[in-house]
Amino acid sequence: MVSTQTANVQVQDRGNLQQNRSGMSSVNVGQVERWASLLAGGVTALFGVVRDIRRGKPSGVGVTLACLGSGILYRGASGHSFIYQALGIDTTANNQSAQSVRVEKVVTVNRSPEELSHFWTNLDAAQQSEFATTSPGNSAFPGVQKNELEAWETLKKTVSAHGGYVEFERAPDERGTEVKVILFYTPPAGNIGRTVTKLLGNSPEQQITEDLRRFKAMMEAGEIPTIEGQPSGPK
Amino acid sequence: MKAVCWYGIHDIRVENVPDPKILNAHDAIVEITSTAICGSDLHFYDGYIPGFEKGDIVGHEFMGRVVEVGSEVKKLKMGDRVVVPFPIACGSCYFCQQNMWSLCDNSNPNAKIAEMMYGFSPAGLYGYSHIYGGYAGGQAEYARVPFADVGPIKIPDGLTDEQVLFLSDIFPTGYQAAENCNIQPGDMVAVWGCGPVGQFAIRSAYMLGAERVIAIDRFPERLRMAEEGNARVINYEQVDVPEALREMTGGRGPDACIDAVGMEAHGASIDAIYDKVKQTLRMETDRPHALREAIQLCRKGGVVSIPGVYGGLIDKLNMGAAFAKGLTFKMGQTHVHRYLGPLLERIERGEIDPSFVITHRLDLEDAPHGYEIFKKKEDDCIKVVLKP
Repeated sequence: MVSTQTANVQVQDRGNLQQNRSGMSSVNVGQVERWASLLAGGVTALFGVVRDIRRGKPSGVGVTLACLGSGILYRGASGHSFIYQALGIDTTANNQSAQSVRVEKVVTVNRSPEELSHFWTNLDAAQQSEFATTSPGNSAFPGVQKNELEAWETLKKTVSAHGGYVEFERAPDERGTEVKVILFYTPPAGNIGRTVTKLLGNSPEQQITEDLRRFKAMMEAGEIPTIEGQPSGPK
Repeated sequence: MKAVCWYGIHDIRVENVPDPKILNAHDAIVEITSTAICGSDLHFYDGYIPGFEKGDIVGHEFMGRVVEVGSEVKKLKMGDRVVVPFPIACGSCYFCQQNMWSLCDNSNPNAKIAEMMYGFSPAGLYGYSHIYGGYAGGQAEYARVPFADVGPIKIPDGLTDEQVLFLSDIFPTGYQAAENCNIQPGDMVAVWGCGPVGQFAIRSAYMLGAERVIAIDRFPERLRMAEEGNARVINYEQVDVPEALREMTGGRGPDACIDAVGMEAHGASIDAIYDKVKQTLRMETDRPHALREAIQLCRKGGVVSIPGVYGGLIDKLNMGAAFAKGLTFKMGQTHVHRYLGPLLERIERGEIDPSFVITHRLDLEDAPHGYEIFKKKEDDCIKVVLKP
């Protein structure tokens, strides 16, 4: 019995993960501080502007507040503080692993680890035989549906694209298999880029979460739930 | 086809929409013969359920005949007469296999949104917001039914639609509420709210051996229906509830309390007014007056069972009372699949005829009128059945 099976998909050389650090050398403000700056700067600048609009004319106080606020806002947005630069301060947490991010996502699938790891290791062969014919079922995996294989393919693609691997671990008390995906990726603009892609909803973390969700649905329910194409009244 | 669609607060319209299609291999299409408006539909009618989009087809209590099945549907076939449970469940995940169907892992296409709000996603539901999947509902001429081999129960021809329609939701919901009370011989059960779910909770509590059921509401016609179900009643506009409940339970307090009201509780007390103001200002999503009272008045070591729907945040809940008295809380969307068979048998044996709760029978076209009178409790409205 194998309790843990690690399927390593070596796509990306992990040695490359630390590159590109120099590109972010101008960032010397930590994450929390940057968010605080964005918030405080925005409020201050807005207050200055609104104050003057209400009074109907620009005032010294209003303009000063607006400028001050904009400065703080810039500090938050860019992550660069000129004051910190002059003082030689860097609050980005020892320049941390700001560039490469390790992402770990896990989902429990109500199938045995043996079934799942068998799929994983034999997927390529299965696809070839499956897609070569249009008949239902499959010679490598009898009784397996084409769309189940596609769920595997999607998951494997995402893992490969970012460089990472998958682990299958038996869940306690016959509760299936904990499928864990570990990815390493380099966000386009460091941590701020990571935050932005997260807000946009298309970070690799979210992508792998959704891939895993669909994978689980396919392996358990045999389909991915959808409402695409259902009727509704005029919008 | 014709379908009842949501357009905003108190804006429900009957629209012509395309017929539903099979989208997944386990789907079936059902031609609807009877459907109903649920008390929980009033929550989105009043605008308190987030995640609705204009044009969404609503309704989750429906039954009809199968007119089309997907390629992977094995048990259902064309012509089968079925009642469809309101939660959508895959039948193969951990939760389905543990008989917790409304918590299915694999039926909510918008699980991401639900996870943000609730930590984990419950099952998808028909016609009940995009948080619960955004599935087109059953107040229509046809509906698409996912996992057709898992949910729908076949109905023998000897029973009328009205006898079995409420297997889709309110009968199992009232029954689960009573079952959650873990009723022991001699137990007294108090039920807040004598709407349809409260009515079934009353009757189910007796089926499960309650000594006495006490029902609380303010509408005479609803209290009358509760009395017909053998409940002792309290009109909270005429009687002080705490005092009456103590008196009726020998000073012990009810052994179990059922909140069959949920997030839009009406009340005349300070806390109820406070909730109304906050909810109107959208500073609080739910008005938990009934729940507060249930917690306060439940006996020590008792059970608070909550079939009433809550959507989000509530204020000023006396957790100290719940803790000090060692209360047990049971709640959640009903695991309808669990009860379909057993409750159908009770109907077949003549132990209950769920059609007692129906007060109005309308054409599907008249759904907006149905919502209005149900909301305003006009014309003694308790339950509206729509005929497509």
